[in-house]
Amino acid sequence: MLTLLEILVYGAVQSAVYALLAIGFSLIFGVAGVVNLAHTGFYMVGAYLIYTFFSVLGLNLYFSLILAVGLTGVLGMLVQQFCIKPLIKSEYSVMIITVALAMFFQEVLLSTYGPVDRNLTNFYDATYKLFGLVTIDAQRLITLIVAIILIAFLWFFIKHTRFGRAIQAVAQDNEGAIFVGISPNRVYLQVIFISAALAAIAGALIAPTLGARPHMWEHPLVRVFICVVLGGLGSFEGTILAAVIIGYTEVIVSFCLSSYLGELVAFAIILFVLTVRPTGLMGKRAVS
Amino acid sequence: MKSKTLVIGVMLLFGFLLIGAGAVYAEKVIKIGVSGPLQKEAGIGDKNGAELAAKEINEAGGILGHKVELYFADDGARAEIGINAVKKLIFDDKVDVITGGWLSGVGLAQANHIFDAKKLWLNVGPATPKLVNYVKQDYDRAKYFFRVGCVNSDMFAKDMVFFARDFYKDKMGLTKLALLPESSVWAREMARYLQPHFAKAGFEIAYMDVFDPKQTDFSPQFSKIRRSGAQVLFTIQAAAPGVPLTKQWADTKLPVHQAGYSLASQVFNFWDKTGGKCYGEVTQLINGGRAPITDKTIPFYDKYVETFDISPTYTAFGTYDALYLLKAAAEKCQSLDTDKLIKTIEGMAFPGTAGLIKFNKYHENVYGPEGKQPVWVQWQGPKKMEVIYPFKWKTADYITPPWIK
Repeated sequence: MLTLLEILVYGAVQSAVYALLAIGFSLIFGVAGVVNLAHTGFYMVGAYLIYTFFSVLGLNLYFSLILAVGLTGVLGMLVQQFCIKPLIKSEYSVMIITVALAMFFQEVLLSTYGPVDRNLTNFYDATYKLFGLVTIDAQRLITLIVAIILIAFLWFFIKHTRFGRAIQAVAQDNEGAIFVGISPNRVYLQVIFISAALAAIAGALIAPTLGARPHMWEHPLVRVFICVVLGGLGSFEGTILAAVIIGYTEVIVSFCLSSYLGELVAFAIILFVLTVRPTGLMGKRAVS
Repeated sequence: MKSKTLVIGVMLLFGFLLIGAGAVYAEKVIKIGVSGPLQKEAGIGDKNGAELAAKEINEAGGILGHKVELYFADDGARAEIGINAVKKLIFDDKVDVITGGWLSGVGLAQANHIFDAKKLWLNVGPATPKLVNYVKQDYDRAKYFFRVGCVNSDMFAKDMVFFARDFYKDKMGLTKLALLPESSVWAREMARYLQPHFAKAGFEIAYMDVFDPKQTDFSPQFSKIRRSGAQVLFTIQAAAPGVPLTKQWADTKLPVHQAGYSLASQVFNFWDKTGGKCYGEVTQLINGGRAPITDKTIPFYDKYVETFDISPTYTAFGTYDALYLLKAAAEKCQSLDTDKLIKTIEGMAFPGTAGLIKFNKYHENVYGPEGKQPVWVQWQGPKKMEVIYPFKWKTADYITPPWIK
């Protein structure tokens, strides 16, 4: 019983982090068709910015969080406007320039802060027993709650607001959207702001656990890819479902086998799903 | 005719003078290549240790009158980059001696390239016993290798068992252990060695798992450790950042003592990196530490801290000692010839900063009172890594982390 409850809680935390990171990547791909490999670079920038504002400049933690998220969103818009937009017709060029950008961010941070991890204190220091049994620290609990609220809010925003419908219109038919007075470029900019801001929030939430480090963008990029491809490229619900599958798989594998096998099992799942369903779990089938 | 002869004579004289002056002013140098992950702490230690030694040696007149020149190559902590790094040192920089290093996988990949080039290799970082196999199998080809830095990982595993027995079992009465190595080759080899040896020493391994160095959430492992009734957690981690595990250990108030080998935990800045949550953590320093190991240890440690504002890594002790070992060997055989240096080093017992450097017939650093012995330190405050074992070098009493009853 205890193990089941632990799997339920720890799996939810793991899934929430993956979903928060992957959803932004999926969103920008679904709307603009952009494979933004700099996405986890925004996650890294977010972690460093909150560290800078809070730990170096001594600003209030929540104000630092807002500043870090806002500035990373603006950075995302600059990247869209000046790096992605001129190359948007060539998928490969976009991939190359975005991975180059992630490396550029890494080198800038490396030369500014050095190779040493930077510590960010926990948002709140406490330990809880969920259901009276499952031990969890406050930082992980905050991460879980914030991720759930943000994802629910984003889902509502996209499905039930005028702006969300504009995003859907651009995603479904770019030219049709222009005919009804929607500017795709403007939507792209707004979507990349949201995408980069979500990545920055993930970075800020994980920084107290992991520390801000110059190579921290590399490993999550693989996880994001797995979630997005498994869920179906550009599918909001599919990405969340995939994040939940991968998050829970890793925790179950850790409990039942060994944690170092988590990645192996995750790749086995993706291979299996893509073999039987090449468009991913909730991706649209290609029309011949 | 006379004046013509005079002019030629003067010209010849100037010519000789110029050649002579050139010979006088062309400085004799010995080129030393340092290969290591220069963007990581272990590699920064490689570089700093070598720089400090080179500066001191040059100020004291060099090695047999040769100025020490250092050349650096970043091995990126990856085998393929490591191969390029030693090729750069050998072919571009044309170094005479190679030192430095960190990961065993990188050292194993570099070995054949260094042997082919017949360069003296004063190896510092890699701890795998496999490197010595080269010398065992083909001495003539691999004689260039000497493990100058730490002892091999089998030896520091052995030392881990001695520490656990003397300290946790005999002194504190704790006998149930959890073992958590990262999934790198050397850490798993070490865990395989430790399991039967801990059992022989009277411990019960209540829990064991291998973790991915990229892992950031240890909730499943900690939950199982909590339920296993383990009293001490031994971790083995070098590639893992160390921070997530330590922070989660403190944040979730895991009721077990934490000890083991954690590279990240061996440097001053670990306190800052974890926000002080490493308080009470114990780590093994496999090569050096601020203890009176030899007369040179504490002066070196303090000078290093003063120079670089950070504590020396085991690799920093290693490269520092490697350069001084080279100097001592060269002075002993009065030569910089590689074969003569090898023969001389084989017969030496050199007191370095991290212990007595002495080699067995396979060029392995000897472990124990007759050679090198790791020290165990506990984090007790910012920049306070107190020695708790071996007892002869103890600088403070052990403290129990506040949440452990």
